[in-house]
Amino acid sequence: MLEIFQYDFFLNAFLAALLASFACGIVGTFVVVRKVVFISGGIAHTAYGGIGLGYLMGINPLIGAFAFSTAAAYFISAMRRKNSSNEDTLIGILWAVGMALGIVFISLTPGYTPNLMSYLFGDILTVPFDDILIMIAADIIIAAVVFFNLDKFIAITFDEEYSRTLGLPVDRLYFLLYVLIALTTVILIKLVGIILVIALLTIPPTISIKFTKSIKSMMLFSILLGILFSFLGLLLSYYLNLASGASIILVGAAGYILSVILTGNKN
Amino acid sequence: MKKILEIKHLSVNLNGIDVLKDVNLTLDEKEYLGIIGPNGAGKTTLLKAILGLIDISSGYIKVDGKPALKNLNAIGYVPQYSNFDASYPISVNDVIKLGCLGKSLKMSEPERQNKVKEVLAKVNLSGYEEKLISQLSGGEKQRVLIARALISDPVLLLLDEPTASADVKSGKNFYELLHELNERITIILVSHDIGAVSKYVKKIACLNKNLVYHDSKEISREMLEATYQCPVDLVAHGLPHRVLETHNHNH
Repeated sequence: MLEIFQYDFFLNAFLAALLASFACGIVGTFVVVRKVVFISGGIAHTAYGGIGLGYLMGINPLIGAFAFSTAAAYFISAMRRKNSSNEDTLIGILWAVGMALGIVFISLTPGYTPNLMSYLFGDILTVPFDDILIMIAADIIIAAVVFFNLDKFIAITFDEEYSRTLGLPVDRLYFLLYVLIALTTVILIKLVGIILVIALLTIPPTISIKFTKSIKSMMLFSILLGILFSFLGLLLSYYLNLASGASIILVGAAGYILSVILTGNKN
Repeated sequence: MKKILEIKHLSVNLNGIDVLKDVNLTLDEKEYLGIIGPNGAGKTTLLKAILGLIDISSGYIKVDGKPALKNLNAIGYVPQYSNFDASYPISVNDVIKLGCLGKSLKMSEPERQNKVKEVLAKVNLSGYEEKLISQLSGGEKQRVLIARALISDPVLLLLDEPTASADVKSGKNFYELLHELNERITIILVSHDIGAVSKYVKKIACLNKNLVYHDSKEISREMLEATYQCPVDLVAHGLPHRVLETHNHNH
């Protein structure tokens, strides 16, 4: 089976899977413990507008995706600050508007738009080396931000009101956390596509939380599970000729079901 | 006597509604005040105002002689333990360490470990460092939150609606624990449960927009009626010491 590693594109694919699993494990852990899956969905899906704009303006769509996701992260944090009662609806609108803008920008783009589907559903086998570099940069930023703010992120996700009484800049920290979700989205787009970002962000930490005793070990275990799922998914997609993103998510879902059966027996 | 808490002419207006109006309160060292009042009376708002979590419309709050906002380390806050997600993967040790995150509270790691041990001993949970918060009973969670509040050596401890669960394992009643802490720390305990509060506190205040209190722990019918705004029947149970005013009229 090792013959597949002789192909450059497969090496790139595995490298991309490693880089994505790293970001997912770290950021997904906070998404799961703080239960902000819907917010993450809003941030991730708004990215599609940026991809469309990237095509239209002829820049790397991942850069456009990051700009749009960060803008979404900013709007959602501003809503949190104002404590608006219809936050849920507004996130839903943001989500749809982001995607609609993407569609409009792409239809305005003259000529044929290749690889468009790869942004929606992921196509890890076509990851160009430029994108790998963007992923490495994003991973480094995520690792550094979380390393220097780990205690604060734990404080605000565990007990937000108490964190305020300590004088922590809770709103700014949440914005920072949402920007990390935006960065993770950018990393994941090539691997599983916008539609499936949330699954890879949440499945590994949801399994890990059953087996780990601290945020740090939950992150580590989530990273390892992410690597396992994406490798198995990639092999499956190669040998059965299936879409890579969908294969990875289905392997993850199978892993989740297995973990439910295992812990169910334990209890 | 040192003034630990000084609230003068405090008013809080939230979205056009006066939640607190002209509240005045002064507490000296080692005082122990129970604040009771119906739901929505502004009890939580008063605590939030002291903690700087909401903007006040007028008046001022001083803690240990300094504006409360500049002296957050001097205040230990114990929220209701139902406020946070009990399934969060975090150990008792890490929860208590969160109390050190305040800006002006820098400790080295060994200092912090010692401090965690010390505050855990104070709440009778020695040896609980590595336990997960999800493995604890309600009463134990509450003690962990008290320990977390104690780690910054506060002069004032604020407790929001503590639920006194019978915690047989540690052998000590929750209120006895507060009584011990009160030997060094001024305590404000907020509750809607008159019975739970009145047995141990030194003073009682009634809050319903205004704060009514005098220097004793007797609750008068007038205080209660002013607070709950309806006729109240005082029924005293056979407590070892009498809290509710003796009433000498016929039922």
